[in-house]
Amino acid sequence: MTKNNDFEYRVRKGERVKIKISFKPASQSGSFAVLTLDGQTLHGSGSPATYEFTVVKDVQHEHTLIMDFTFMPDAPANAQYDVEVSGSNGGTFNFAVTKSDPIHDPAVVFMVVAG
Amino acid sequence: MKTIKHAFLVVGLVVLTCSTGIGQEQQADKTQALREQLRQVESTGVNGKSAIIQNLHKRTLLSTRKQLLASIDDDLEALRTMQAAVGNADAETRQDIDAQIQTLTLERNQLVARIEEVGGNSSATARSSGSSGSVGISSEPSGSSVSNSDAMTVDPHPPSSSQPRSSSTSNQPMGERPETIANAAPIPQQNIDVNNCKLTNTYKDAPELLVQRVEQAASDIVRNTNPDPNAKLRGLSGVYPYLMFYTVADAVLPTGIENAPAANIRTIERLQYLGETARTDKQVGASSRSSGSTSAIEKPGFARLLGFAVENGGILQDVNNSVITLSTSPYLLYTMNGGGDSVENYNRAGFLNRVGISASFNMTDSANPLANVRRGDLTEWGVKARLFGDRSTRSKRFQDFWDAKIRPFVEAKGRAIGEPINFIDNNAVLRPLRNQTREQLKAALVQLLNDSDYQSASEADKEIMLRNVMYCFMRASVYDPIRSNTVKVDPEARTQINDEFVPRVAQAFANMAEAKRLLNEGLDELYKSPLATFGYTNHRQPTGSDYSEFKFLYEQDKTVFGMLKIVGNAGLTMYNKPNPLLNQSRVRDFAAALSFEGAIDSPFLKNQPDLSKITYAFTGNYQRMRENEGIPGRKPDLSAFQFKLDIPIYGGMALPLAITYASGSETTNREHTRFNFGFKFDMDKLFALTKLVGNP
Repeated sequence: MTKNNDFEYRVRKGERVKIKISFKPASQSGSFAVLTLDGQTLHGSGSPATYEFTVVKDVQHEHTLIMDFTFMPDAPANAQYDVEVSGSNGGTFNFAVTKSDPIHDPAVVFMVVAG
Repeated sequence: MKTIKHAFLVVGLVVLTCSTGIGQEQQADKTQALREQLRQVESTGVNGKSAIIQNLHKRTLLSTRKQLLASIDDDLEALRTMQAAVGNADAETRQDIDAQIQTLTLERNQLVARIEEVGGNSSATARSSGSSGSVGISSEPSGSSVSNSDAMTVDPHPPSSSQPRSSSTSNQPMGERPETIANAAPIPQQNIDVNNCKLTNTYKDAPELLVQRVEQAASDIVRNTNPDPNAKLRGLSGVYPYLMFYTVADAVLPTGIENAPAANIRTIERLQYLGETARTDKQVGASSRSSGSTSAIEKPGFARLLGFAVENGGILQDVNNSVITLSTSPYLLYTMNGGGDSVENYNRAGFLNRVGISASFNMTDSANPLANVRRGDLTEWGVKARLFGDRSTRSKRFQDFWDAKIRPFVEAKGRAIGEPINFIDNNAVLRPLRNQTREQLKAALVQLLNDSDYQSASEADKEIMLRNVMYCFMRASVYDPIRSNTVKVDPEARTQINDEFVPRVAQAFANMAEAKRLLNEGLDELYKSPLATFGYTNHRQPTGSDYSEFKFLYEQDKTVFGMLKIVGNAGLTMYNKPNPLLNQSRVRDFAAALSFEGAIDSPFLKNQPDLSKITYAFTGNYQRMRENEGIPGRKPDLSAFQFKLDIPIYGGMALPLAITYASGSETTNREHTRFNFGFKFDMDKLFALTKLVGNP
């Protein structure tokens, strides 16, 4: 996996993609993330919540993962979801979506490139 | 003489334009023929054929691409000759030439990348195609020839700076996209003039959903301080799938129903994020015995103490009238161990995350509150421990509520918008259009980021320029080509978008209003759940004896007529060193307080996103001061009644008022009535409201 920017990655067909999501500050507010991969809800497990999928599309296609992050009223202005994206062919990347960001539901794109 | 010279110049220019124009037409024919030839070769299926055939196919592809490259170079050369000739005499013609140069340069760069991708040396056939004098989205350095992929300055897929650039990916970027369509007509290159586009919105009738996403992208780009343009454009990447779908849906909207109330993309309202509501009563504050407090009763919650303490470097500072209160928690130790205030640390901390410590000081220097933090000004310090109840949205009770009641709405919304995005990816016409236009829009925005007008503009103006370029591009490159059928979206796809996807999005987004209503109810319930705290406070008396206070605090909503909240305190205080000369014994006093609180809608906040209510409270206190027994001018039994009103007067601002009657005080038996008022700013709420106003 390689990264174009926080919301755009390049992956190869057959690659396993893992996404870990954690929230801060946990002492003040809860974590409410909902992920949708290509129109289907993606369910996570564990703590921090981990989501996985395999790249099954062909080159020139892309998987789109909508990450919907809800910030509750008790979350302070600097609350944030930390996201770690990694691929089984290598590459681990991090980004954050904060309460003050204009986009709370980025459509994260995984472009399939030739392997 | 001047007139004659001018006439010669015009005639010369006409002759030159005509001659190169004829040549250019013939050349364009040749280029177009080569494009068609290449498309046919590319669409020839060789999977399952022998290695010889596959190898020949590869060589044919390479050869055809090189021929096309050479032809495009000829076109570019001719265009530059015209560009030089026309100069600035004819702005319109110059603009058309510039646009054509941009288009061909982009096509050329993509071609070069594809040639290099399969190991061909593009420089063997490619001539210098320097773009000096051209404006627009040229992706190669001015005046240079493109002999390897590193020479390209616009790389739509550069590896992350944190990722080593491998040889397998360094040649890949431009070559991966746009794809060639095997069975569909080629997508025309659509480029925009960034210099003009930045000035005005050419897609004024864009659907609200599209407008919202464009605004979000522009805001994210402006706020992003990363110097790498590709990283800076994450805001565009994060919304482009939405932009694409909304624009396509707008373009395939049947004529005549643009404003029809039926579910069409133009009538769907903006999406509001959940959780953007407001609440009152969240300050930790000084205890009710502090002179600066307008509250006659102490609440059990130290709602935001832990996180506040952490985010403020361990200490929460709260200034209330003439008292400054500093608070912290032992939980801080866990956050310092790495990971910060994470769910994992919070769960690991166990009981320590239930404990808060605070200290209050008299404030004499209001300009510099921390200057008052001196031992001599210490009025009280205390410890609170949460016994049971949790009013945070992190509580299991609320998490369960979310999973059962709210999550299904959010998931349905995700599916409703995710499906058409996936549909575009599976559509032979829309997918390449998306791949191509995304890279072109990125290139256009990179050009804007480097524009001197943009760089010297205010943040607000930068956002406007970014929005204008995005509107301009989506209109010219996606909406218009589909609407005019230059890009042919088949009738089945149009029907599916209009009759299936858009209504589903409309329904899912409308349902979010219901989700928001349920969420507000859930939050209301959460804030009304029982909460009990044990508190210890050590009161420092500069002119008397210090004493300790032990208190049990309990709060429960909806217990009186199902309307009012009941808050109860009971406790006793003990002297640290009783002074017999002042009639003091170890036990100083017993005290109890009971408060009934309610809330009504605020007439001042009608049509405002702040949902704060007017809160009112009737409170009664009883205190038995043993040391006052038999002392002239004092009363051992003290009672007080208070009516308190908290009126939100504008978003994030409230006016607290309190009137208190007391039968006496600890030091006098004189009855008295006092009136307190203040002005309260809620920075979190102000921030959330500002954001809401920005995204109405």
